[in-house]
Amino acid sequence: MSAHESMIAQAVERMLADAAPGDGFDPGLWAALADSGVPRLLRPEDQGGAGEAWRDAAAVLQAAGARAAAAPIADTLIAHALLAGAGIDADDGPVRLLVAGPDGRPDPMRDAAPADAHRLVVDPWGEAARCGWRPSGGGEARAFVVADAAGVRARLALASASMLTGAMRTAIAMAVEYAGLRRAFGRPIGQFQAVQHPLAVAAEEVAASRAALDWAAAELEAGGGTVAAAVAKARSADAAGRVAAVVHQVHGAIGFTAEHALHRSSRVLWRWRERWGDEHDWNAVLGGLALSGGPDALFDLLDGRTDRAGLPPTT
Amino acid sequence: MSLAFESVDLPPSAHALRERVRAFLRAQREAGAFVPHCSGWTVFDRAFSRACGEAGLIGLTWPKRWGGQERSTLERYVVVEELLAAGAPVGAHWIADRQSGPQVLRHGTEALQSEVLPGIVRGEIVFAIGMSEPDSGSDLASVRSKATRVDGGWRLSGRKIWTTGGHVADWMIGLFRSEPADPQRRHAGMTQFAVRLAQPGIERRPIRNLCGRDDFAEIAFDDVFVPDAHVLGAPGDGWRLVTGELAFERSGPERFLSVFPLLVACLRAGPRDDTPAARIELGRSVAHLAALRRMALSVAAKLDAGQDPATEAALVKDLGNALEREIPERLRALRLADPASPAADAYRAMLEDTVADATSYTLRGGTPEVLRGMIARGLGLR
Repeated sequence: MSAHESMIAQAVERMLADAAPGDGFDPGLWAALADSGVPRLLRPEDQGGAGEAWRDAAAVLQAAGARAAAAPIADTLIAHALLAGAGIDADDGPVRLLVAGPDGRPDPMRDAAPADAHRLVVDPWGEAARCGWRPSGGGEARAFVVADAAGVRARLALASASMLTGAMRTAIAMAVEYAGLRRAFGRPIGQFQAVQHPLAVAAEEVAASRAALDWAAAELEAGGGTVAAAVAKARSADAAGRVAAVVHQVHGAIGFTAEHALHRSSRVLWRWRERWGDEHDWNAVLGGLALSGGPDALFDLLDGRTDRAGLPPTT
Repeated sequence: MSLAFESVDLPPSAHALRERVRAFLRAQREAGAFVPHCSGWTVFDRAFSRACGEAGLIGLTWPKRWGGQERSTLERYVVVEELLAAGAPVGAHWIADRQSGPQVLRHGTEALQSEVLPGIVRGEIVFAIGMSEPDSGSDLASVRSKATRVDGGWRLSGRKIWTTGGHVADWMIGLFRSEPADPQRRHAGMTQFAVRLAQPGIERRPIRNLCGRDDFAEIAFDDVFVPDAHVLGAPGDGWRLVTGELAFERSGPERFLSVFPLLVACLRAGPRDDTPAARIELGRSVAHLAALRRMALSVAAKLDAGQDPATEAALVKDLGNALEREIPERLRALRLADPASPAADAYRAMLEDTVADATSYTLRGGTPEVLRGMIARGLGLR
């Protein structure tokens, strides 16, 4: 769990732990999540949510990533946040969110969602975000525009970074445990420096991703956070590939099997580093800010203060 | 996994402090007191450190009775990150402000505190770190320089090497073996001493590094007397003290901001921003540095709370050093809009120098090979 103690994330964690592992959508699990108010978490309080509770959301989505949940939790949370802003209500059913890349490439991943899920198409990369809502069951299709596209991008970045960070935490915990159990040359392989050091480096990557994510969630909750969220996604997507490589190398052939659980985490890593902007997209966003801000503003960019242009810095 | 970096907010006072440091640096730069340099914390300039002392930028967290300001570690963090980001030549007071002063505060006698702390705060007393020896680097517990009990104090003999600023420093905190080595208890029988370096019996020889600078030194001790008042902590407790000192040595932003002035120089030189490569490379550096900064802030808060974040500090240092070594290499790929401009010349000269200097980043203050072992222990693998 993140440093932020989240009751709802702990509840989600328990539900996911009790659910049967699998790749297909689990209607029973979704019903339980809906009962706990997870889909509407980011809606305002008068709509059954907790407002822009981004620290809770980040914790819930880390749990989803950590358990490789067979449910489109990130898609649905973000969809409700955007729909609420547009004054559109929706039931608690799962949403499939489709976000093309900045170059127009399609959303590369279908999270476990039923064929009849609601659909929300979002193009967040322009000045304003254009959205297309198509509820399942023949409800009214709606097109709407969110003026604050940077805010939409930040939410997508934070959500996908949360999925990645949760999955990385599971993956490294599995690899550390395995290295302590698996014996070779008469001792646990975790006693060899050749195994210890890559695991240490992977742990650094996970720690950096967590630190960036915690920062971004707090900033977003406080009403800013567009730079911090970009940092969180850029950093965690950069880490994901390296962490996946290390945890698989430590596991050896068993980790490459369909039977072993490791691939559930590594698949989350490989998919979610692509979704909603990969590390190159987000690095390009940050690099663009560095170039437009110029040399004298570079340090403030590290602090996310470019965020609050027009407002006095708070630190 | 026990390695956690709790999110930390800077105190409200940090903003005014940051603006003060920036105004100081602007004035110094305009007066020609310095030109930005990578790894400014290894650039030795007594005059600049005295100016820092006058501006109240040294010993911020220390008691007022010694000239300090009793500020928090997070406030100090803001000051040091601004000094580093500007590439200011802060080497003459860096070690004393970062670790020697805090070590004296925690473990030194009242007499030693009054003797050195006010001078450090004024930017006048320079400290060096006495850890490595000709045959003891990463394996610090194998030090052989020894301390022998005499009436009223100790006598020191042996050699220290790779001591940053050792040839110009006024004092050293050194780790010496005060009891014969015991293979069964490798970490027992060592003691830390504060030693005045300008005295008979001490010979100092600067060692020129591959960049052509006399950054570090070899120091020989030949039967040098140290009074009891200059012993840190209890005799025999040196290992515990030195590992505590290393948490201060390793956790700071100098472990990832050394090449920040290079990024600034690059932006000044004007990378061609019509190439995706420029945006991606610069953005990657921003993302990695911003994440490391959050981690370092968290470590600073842990130090403030009296915790011992030695493993977290090792993690920040290893991650930060790897990035510092990577950034100059990756910046080589960037193309400039006007390669013939004076800013481009300055940037290229800094890049060339930093590529060579970066070799030392993963040597000084603990190697990746040692740090990763500490992290592996933190993960439960050892």
